[in-house]
Amino acid sequence: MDDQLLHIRQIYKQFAGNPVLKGVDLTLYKGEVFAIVGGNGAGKSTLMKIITGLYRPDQGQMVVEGSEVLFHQPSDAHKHGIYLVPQEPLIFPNMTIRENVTIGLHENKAECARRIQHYLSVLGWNLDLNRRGLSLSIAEQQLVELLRGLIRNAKILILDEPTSTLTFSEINSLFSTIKKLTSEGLGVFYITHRLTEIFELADTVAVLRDGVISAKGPVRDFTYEKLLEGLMPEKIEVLAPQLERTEAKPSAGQHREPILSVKNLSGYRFQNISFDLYPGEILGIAGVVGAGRTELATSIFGLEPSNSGEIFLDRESIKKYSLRERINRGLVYVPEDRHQHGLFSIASLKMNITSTILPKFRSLFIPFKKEQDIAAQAINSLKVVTTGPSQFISNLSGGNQQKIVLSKYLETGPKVIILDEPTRGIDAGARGDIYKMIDDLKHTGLAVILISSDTEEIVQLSDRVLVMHEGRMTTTIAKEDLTIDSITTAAFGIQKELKTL
Amino acid sequence: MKLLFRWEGALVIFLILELIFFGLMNPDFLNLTNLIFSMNDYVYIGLAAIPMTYVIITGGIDVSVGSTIGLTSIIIGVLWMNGLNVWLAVLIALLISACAGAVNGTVVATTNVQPLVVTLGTMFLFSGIALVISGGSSASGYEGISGFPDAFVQLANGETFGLPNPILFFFGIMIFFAVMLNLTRFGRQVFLVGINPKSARYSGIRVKSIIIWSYIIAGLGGGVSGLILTSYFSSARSDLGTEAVLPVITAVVLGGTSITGGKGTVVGTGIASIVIGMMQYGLQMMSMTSQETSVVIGFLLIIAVLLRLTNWGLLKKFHTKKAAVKEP
Repeated sequence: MDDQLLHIRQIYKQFAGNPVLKGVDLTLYKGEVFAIVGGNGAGKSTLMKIITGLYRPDQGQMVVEGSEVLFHQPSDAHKHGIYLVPQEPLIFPNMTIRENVTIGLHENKAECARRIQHYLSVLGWNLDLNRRGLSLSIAEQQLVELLRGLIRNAKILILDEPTSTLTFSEINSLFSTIKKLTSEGLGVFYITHRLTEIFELADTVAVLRDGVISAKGPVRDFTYEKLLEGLMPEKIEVLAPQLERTEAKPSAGQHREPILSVKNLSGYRFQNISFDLYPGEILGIAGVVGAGRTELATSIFGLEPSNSGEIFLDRESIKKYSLRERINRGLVYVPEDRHQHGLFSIASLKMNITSTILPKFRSLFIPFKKEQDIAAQAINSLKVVTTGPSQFISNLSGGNQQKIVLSKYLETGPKVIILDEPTRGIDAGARGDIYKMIDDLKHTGLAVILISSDTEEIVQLSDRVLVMHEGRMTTTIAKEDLTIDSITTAAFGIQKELKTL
Repeated sequence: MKLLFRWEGALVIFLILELIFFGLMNPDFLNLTNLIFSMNDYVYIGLAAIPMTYVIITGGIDVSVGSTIGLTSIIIGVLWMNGLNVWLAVLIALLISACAGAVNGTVVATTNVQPLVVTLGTMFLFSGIALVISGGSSASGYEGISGFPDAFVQLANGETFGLPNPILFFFGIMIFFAVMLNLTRFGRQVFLVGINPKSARYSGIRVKSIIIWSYIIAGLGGGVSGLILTSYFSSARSDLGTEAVLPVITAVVLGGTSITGGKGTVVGTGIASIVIGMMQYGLQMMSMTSQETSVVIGFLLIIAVLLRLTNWGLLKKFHTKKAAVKEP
């Protein structure tokens, strides 16, 4: 077993009682490209972070080239020749490529330069080492990250979705680089959402699902179907409380005017999206991370510009309107990242709740009594656990913070509400409350767009699902055909005959 | 909010201690008339610092305010010297100071350049313009333009109800800006933008416009400060206020405004500018040079900031504990 680079045995890891990895075994050999696939939250990132020393496993062993190791920090992993190329390259924009590559190295400068040149010529890259980080394209930044790993004598490279931001020709050159590196004896972990790349590049593949490896073996033994089988949940455990869903009236939607109509909309990371949204309907938007769902939503809301296409709200084109005007006309977007985009952390609940409706007060002075009443009512109706409207929002739990973010957008009296990952990182109880709320909103005639990476959530709540893959709509699935299987298939970009039951 | 009042309370206590200390060192210091009229010497710091509080709450900073003081002063002088009515000259100069603020605000809001860098640039720009104007009208920078009408000089040297006018100005402006910051929709938006500009944008707040207006207010603060100084010295000079920048920012930070934005009070800034001024005055009476005074003030600022940072966490814990007990 001289060829064995890395062997991990029975790795377990949990976060706050939530098991993420439940006994993972992997072996990587020299010269091998080992692909790892899995849905969102399957544990891919956690596994890689353990291998690179960012996390320590709760249980399990790691053996690098025959000797057992325990990493306390990433530099320990570097010493053993393990290097992670992150999805978003971390480049210092004001440093040259040479400085970016050699940062933190204590070796002789001339020696470093010689080795960089050596790798550049072996790989056949043409890169001026004196260029500054900010002038590099994403693909070039990735090459710099690769060089960083190589110069540190990496034997194991981990590439985390390296192609998600690359163009096709860049992908091809990356693949040939990877092939050259493995022919020199390196081992590569390749994490991806794109199944086609696995067949093109990888030698071995492992499918991670809910913290266990559900399928593993040489790529030649796999087909698309077999990979997908590994990706699908074995048994659908419904963690979230079930809703008693009143069925949408058959006439609902179909004969009425759409409230929101998107026609051939294109923008950064999404192309040619069209759909109609009717009052009283929940439209799910499914897809893997990076499929362009958030980019689509923020474009509709007016946070990001869109290139071409039209957006109609109530039959009126709204592309010319600012975000504020879109809110006034009844379109709101509840952001995915609560902390960065949703909350005012060092402010009271009432300041948070009224932040979207300040223009509605009209008076020069803030009507404090009215503000207090609005906040108290919102807290009451959403069952927020708090000491009162004056409490600071940073003292609330995640679920309660999320309720406040939702309520601040509901106060504007929207007709269309876009919810981006509304239950991310919150506990089951608050999740149930939010599901209930979404369902209530629907019944008051609101049109809801639900973006979620939790496929069960999508299936449970949506009336119709639009699936996106790499910025394009792959399909729209009607309620009758809505299964986790049908969504997952489309989300991984595989055209498969949908059997209508 | 309670915490902020605590900080203001601490400042008042510190001010009283300061008065007692200097009183013990030199009993003449506590002469009430002296004390009140000494405020004339440093009230311009507060006049500029109070509007500056807005900019710092949005997470920015304006170091060009000293140059705005000089620019306003020289514009008043030059316009008046060229035959314009002095009050009209004042009005035009104040408008120009607001424009200076608008330039700062627009660049800060629409580019990714840090506010410190932007206003460092405009600091040289505005003082350069002031020098050019002053040179162009053959008024030497150091002697300045003097001989203003009595009514103008009385603006900062006169008294109303037995109190010097600048002090009334100071309290008037403090109340006005405190009300605007804490009670109006504009003030609320200043806070929200300072706490989290991204959330503010996602909430439909016009972040750029709020930032621009904050800088306009700060520019206008520099203008008013320059006006009062010109009247007080009855001399218009382009280099007035060159040494004001650091005391002004010190007053805002000492007053409890977070340099990273999102938190702060106008009243705190007001009290802090009195604390700094009294300190300068007291140390001068102990025959310290102005360089030595700077050492003490710099030291004071660092201690104050350290104290505030440590206290905050402790008080917060205490506060939440109390809240938890109150509401079962």
